[in-house]
Amino acid sequence: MAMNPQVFARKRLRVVPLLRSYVVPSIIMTLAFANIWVASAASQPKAYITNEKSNDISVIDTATYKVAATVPVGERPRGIRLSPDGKRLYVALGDEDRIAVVDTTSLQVIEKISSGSDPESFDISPDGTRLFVSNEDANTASVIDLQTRQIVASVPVGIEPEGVTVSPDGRLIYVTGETSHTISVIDADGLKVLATILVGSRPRESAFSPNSQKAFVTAEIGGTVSVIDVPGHKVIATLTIEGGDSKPKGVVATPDGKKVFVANGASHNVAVIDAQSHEVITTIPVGQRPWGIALTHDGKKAYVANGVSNDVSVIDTATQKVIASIPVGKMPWGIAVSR
Amino acid sequence: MRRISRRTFLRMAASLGVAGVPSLAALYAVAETHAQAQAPRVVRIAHLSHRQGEDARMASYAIMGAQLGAEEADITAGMFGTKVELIIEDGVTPANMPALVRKLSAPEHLTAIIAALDDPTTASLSAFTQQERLVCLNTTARGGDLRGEKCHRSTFHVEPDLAMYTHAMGQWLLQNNRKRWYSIVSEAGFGQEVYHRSRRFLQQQGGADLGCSVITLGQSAYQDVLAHLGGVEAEAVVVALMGEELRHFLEQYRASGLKTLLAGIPLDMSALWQASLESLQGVWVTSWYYGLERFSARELNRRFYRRFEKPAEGFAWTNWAAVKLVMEGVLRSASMEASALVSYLESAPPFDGHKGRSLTFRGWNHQLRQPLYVLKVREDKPENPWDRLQLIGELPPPAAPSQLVVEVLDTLGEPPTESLCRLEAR
Repeated sequence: MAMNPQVFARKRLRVVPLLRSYVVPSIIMTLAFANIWVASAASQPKAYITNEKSNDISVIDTATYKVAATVPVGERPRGIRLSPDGKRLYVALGDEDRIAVVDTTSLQVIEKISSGSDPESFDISPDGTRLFVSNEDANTASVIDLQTRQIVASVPVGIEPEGVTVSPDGRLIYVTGETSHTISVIDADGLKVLATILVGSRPRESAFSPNSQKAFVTAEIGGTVSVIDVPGHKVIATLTIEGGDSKPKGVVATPDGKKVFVANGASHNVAVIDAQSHEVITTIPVGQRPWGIALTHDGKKAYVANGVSNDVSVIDTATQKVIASIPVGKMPWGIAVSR
Repeated sequence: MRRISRRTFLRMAASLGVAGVPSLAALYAVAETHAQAQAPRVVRIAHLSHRQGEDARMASYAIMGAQLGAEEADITAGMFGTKVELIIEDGVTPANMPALVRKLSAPEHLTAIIAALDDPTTASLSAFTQQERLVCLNTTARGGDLRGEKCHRSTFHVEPDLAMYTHAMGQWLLQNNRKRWYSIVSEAGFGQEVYHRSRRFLQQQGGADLGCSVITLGQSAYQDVLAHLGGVEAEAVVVALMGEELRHFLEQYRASGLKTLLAGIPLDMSALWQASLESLQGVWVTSWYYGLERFSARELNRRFYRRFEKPAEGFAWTNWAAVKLVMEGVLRSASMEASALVSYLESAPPFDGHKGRSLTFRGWNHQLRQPLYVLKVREDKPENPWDRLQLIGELPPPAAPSQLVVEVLDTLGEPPTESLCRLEAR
């Protein structure tokens, strides 16, 4: 039955003040709180940890050192990187041959990009337009255009490529060759190998100094960190960690370029290296089998994924002490920290 | 242009006090850079085997391993302007070996010789290469005398020796509370050596040697042995037999209904696959297993299977590793000279054999330190013979953070105090 227009008008008159008095302010208040929460959530850096065996990522609130969320992402998540704007989280899914894309606001997997077989490690160009992935079986590094989701180049590198790192200036990509003990230096513009550098036995990862002048390469079996003069493509020093009995894996350089932190796997500690003198300053005991390592953007905290003890150690980089230990999923592997 | 060996380079660098850098590691880094600049042109590696009779299976896997190693080495070497050439000779005997080696090294210098040969031929080759100033890597011969009284400075042993196999099995048995052993061993040298090593190991570790039955070559009847075995109350039976003796023993042991755990030293998996040892049972020790997954063993196993459509086994691994060792030695020392390669291998460079540990050669007898694997034979007999074995132990266990990797790995094999090896002076 159609409502009489006059009745409708009267009712409308009664409803509108009600909306004005109660509902609209409520909505405004709710939105305001939501905005404050979102703003707060967005402003507070998060640490994202891949858990290789529980197939999820743990999201750690860096203010409280507590896991704020756990996000299922897919099979065997390992390598993890944030987009430069922090809106997207990319996660390598080794058993799916894909890279999961997670929206960092909704914490939902919004897409999975084909990556070639068994992706483990990758990096993103500083402008966020390209993804560089190592293809272990094919001895290549693939370049994925993040606009088209297409592989635009495949660059031959060393045998059993793994660690992929883009220099901070975006000009070079380092790819470790675990079996060939090499770093393949790829020109980011021409997508060609500029040089191959022989480093320690079984190189896993590399980290550049903030000015892209030096790089530090961990060698798991060699128990060493090679220091590379980036412009010269030359090894200028090799540090033996704990007499060669450690198993260096994750590596990261502080934003001020003064120190390098190395996760030493089976030694259950993190080595702190003076980036200028190339000497080990100290080692910090952490959880069992520290693997992935990342710094907060101010460089004040280091987050370390401990693969066997299933936790994350938080290191105060000034005091060089562990200040928190946070239980996460099964076999934590990689870490990315937002701004 | 005169090449400077790594040792010479390091000595020069040390005398000059290069850049005030005090550590050997730092000097080595400079040597690494040097290697890139002076990499030699062609690395020629001769691979010697005897692909006939009983040795044919072993040789075919050895050749496959060397081929994969050479193909991978060539990729790596190619990045530094170097090529790797593998020359395969598969009809090598003690009689024709000297002439063959001279012929191979006549046109161009041989960087190294990989020996996939039996013990006597390896011994002859080892002595000959020492005389000819060539480097030899032994990938198949297991006898202790090659690392003992017949050792030579220019020979390096990638294949584990019988002492290592015996100690690995011994460690596993003791871990599983089996301290009372009876041994059934071949009258051939390897059987005698396994028994000698087992008895010594038990003495040192507090176990009990309950005795030994020596099996003559060609023996096919085992009733007496099995009857005796039934009465000794052993917790494990150490088996060191090969070929037909092994087959007959296993068949009759199964038929006898005896249940004592058989502990085989060592297992040649290619023999299992090709001869289909239906009665195989117990636990066996080996240097490589196609089901290994950790430390990139999975990747190596995949590469081998993709290349040959066969799973990798111990001899495939040792030969792959030998080629890789030579190539790395050449690249890192920036020399193809035998003396430089010997010095490099003696300097205990950490070798990555995809076993998850830093593998190095022992200074006192040139034996490669490495973990070994204990496999159990499944009783359910799966359709695919490759599935009959499952990994149950890695010996010795990985070093704890407080332990040195070298010390842990040296729990397998003869210690320097017992070694009869006296390497020639430099």
